Amino acid sequence: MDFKAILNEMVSNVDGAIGAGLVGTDGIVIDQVSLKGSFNISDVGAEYATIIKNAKKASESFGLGKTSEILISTERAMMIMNTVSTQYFLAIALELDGNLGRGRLEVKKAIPKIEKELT
Amino acid sequence: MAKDDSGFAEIEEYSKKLNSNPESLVFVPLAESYRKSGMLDEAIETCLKGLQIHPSYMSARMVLGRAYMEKKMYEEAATEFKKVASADVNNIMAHSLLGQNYLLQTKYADAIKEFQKVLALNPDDGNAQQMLTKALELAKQSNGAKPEAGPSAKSAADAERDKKQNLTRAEELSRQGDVENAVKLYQLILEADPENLVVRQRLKDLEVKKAKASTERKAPERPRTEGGMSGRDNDKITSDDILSVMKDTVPRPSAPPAQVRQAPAAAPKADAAPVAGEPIPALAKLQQTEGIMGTLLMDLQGTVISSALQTKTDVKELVSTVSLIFTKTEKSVQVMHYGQQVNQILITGEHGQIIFSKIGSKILVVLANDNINLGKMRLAMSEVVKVLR
Repeated sequence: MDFKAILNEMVSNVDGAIGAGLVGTDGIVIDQVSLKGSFNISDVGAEYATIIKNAKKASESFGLGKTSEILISTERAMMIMNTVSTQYFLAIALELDGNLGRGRLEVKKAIPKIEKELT
Repeated sequence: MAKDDSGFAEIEEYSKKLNSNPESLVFVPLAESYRKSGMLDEAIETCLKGLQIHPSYMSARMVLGRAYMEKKMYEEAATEFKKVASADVNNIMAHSLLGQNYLLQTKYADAIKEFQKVLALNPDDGNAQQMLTKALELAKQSNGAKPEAGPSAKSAADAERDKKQNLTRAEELSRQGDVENAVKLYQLILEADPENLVVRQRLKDLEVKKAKASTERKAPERPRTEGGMSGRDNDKITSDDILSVMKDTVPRPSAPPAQVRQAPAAAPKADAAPVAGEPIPALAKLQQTEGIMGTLLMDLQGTVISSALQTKTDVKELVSTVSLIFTKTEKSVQVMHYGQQVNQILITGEHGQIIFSKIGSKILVVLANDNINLGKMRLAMSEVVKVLR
């Protein structure tokens, strides 16, 4: 199973998913899928990486240790980002009325598959 | 001997990763897999090796302590748990395991102290309550069976009984308005048990009352008012009380605990905004929710409105981190065309979770442990959100 297939399976199981991507912590996108034209993680991988970096800093400041998940909601969308090993993270973007709980579940289910592909 | 064959796959995987990068933190899950599979010597060895490279990695010390404990090396286990507890005084798990460890060593007085610490951090911890009861019971039994053999257990049981009697008497005196003698009695209890947060809080309340009485001579004993501290039920200690005392007791490396600053004069709706330092009832209620470890309310300019956070980091530093993460994340989402402003950020770490919510011109920060899920946390926060809006 390649990364795209994992990402496709993930987004197709989540109502309101816009797209998903596997990104390195350096902002370089490994693979992505998009259900809407507006979602192009390749252009904004570095922004995701910045968010992850800042969240890690906040997590350490508050004594939470290693960061595993970040959820962000804006007035237009929701994003779920989970770290995969220390060098990558998996992100999924949802519409505001998307199924956040399902999104989190599908991301968690996809992580071991991605880790398997990465080793 | 291995207890569970399924652990071997994990062990193999983690070992491979550790071999490819010996400085990796993967030694902790590897050691944990060894421990769970009953390979205690391997677990200990892995932790000790990893800790040579990462001596301040407390998760490794927790795994090491557990492995020692399972090997019945109680002294060594206690050393590790103590290191974790001194690095993070709010680490409930470290205090709890230390208490259990002392219990196994029949050091009942020490076990009682540790379980009391757990309960001070989380008064609703049912397991700690049970363990404390057990420790007190065992202390009593040990005292009855061998009167001269267990001095520490005997003194612990006696001290606990005396404390209860003195506490009851002090509360009676306090209710009767005999502040002077109530203070003396509370001070006596504190001498015997300096870490008793509940008594410290009572004493603090009475001292405030005493100071007020001397400054407001016209009304030395005001009637109790609803909602305020003077109107509270003296028999009910809330977690807010305990947390309030902990602000004084938890050591902070660099800054004083109260980082609450006065809201700037130009702040909008200053009359409606809560006065700095004044408890916000909805926040106090939120603070009492099981799993929530601390709250912080600040404005977008970084002024703290209310803080009940027990972290080792300076509140000022945390506030600037919160401001920074909001600003930078907002900038990123704008670039990504996901919106103009961030409403909420949730970060889950290995020791808990933190949620930042923007409510109008304020940011509410809620620190929680793993006992609460996102849904419950949001539900608990909804009232505060309503009030602040």
